[in-house]
Amino acid sequence: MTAAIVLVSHSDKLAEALQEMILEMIPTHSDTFKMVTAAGTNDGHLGTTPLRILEKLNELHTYDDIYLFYDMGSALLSSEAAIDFLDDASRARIHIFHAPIVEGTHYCAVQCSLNKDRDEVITAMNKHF
Amino acid sequence: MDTKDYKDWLSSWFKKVMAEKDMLNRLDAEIGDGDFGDNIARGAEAALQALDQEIFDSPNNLLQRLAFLFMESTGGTSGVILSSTFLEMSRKAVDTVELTDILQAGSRAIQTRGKAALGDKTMLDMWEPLTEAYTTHTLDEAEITKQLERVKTMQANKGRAADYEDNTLGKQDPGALAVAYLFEALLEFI
Repeated sequence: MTAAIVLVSHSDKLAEALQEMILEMIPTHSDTFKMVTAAGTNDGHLGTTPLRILEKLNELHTYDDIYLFYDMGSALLSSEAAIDFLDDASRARIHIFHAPIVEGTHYCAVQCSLNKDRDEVITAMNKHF
Repeated sequence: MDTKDYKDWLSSWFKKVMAEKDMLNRLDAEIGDGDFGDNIARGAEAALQALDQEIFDSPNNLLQRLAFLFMESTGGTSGVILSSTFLEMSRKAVDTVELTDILQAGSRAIQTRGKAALGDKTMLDMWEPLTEAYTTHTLDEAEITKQLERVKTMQANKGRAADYEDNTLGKQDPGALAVAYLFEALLEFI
C-alpha cells in the first residue's frame, strides 16, 4: 500500500516549510510515504485553487491512499471542489483530515512511516485528534 | 430544454453578470471584500467564450465544461460553489431532461459544497425558492423581486458577510442578486 500526504495551504511558503520540517523530523522512514503541497494561486498570491489541487491529486493517481490536510476553511472548500471532479474510484482513495495542519500532518506521517494501513491511520488520527 | 436552450439561457446570464460587475462589487464591498463582481465576471467571461466557440452535444457536456471553467477561472468562494453547482447539474442532466430536477440538484450542491442552510443569506436563499417557483409554474419577475426583498431582510450567517452580523440587515447579498439574474434569464424559456 502506497501512501501520499497532500498539504493544501493558502501559502506556498508555509506548505513547503511544513513539508521540509516533517520530512526532517522523520528522516529514516520518509520513503514510506510521498508528501506534496498544493498551495497558492496561479498568479502567485495567497489562496487556494481547486484546479491546482486537482492537478496534484491527478499526479498521485498511482498511490493507494491519499491523506489530505488543509490550513483554513476555504482550503477545505477548494479541496472538496477539486475532489468532486475525480471519478468515484479516485475519490475513494482520498481521505480529508480536519486535524490542525502541523500536528496532524506530522502524526499522520508517523503512522505512514510505521507502515500502518488506511484503516489504522484513520483510527489513529481520529483517536488522537 | 435542449442543449441550445441551455447555451442561450446561460450565455444571457453570463453577459448580465459581466455587465453588472461593478454593482456586484459595490454590494460585496459593503458586507465583504468587494470582489464578488470581479470573481464571477472572470468565470462568466471564460464560460461565455466556451459557449461561443465550442460545440456541445448535450446539456450534461455543456454544464460539465462550465463547471470546469468556473473552477479554473473564478476566484472566491462563490465561484467555487457555482462550479460545484454546475457539476452536480451536469451529473443530473445525464439521467433526466427535466430542468426542475436539474435545478434541484444545483440547490443540493450549494448546500453541500457551501454548507449553507436556508436563512443564512446566501445564493441558496434565492436558488431554492425560485426553483420551487419554476416547478410550480409561478416563476416571474414579481416572484424574483419578492425573493430578493426577502433575502435583503436576512442577517448573513455564512461567508465573509457573516462577520458583519447585523450590519448585513437591509443590504442586498451579491450572490443572491447573481442568482436572481440567472432565473430572470430563464424566464425567456418558460
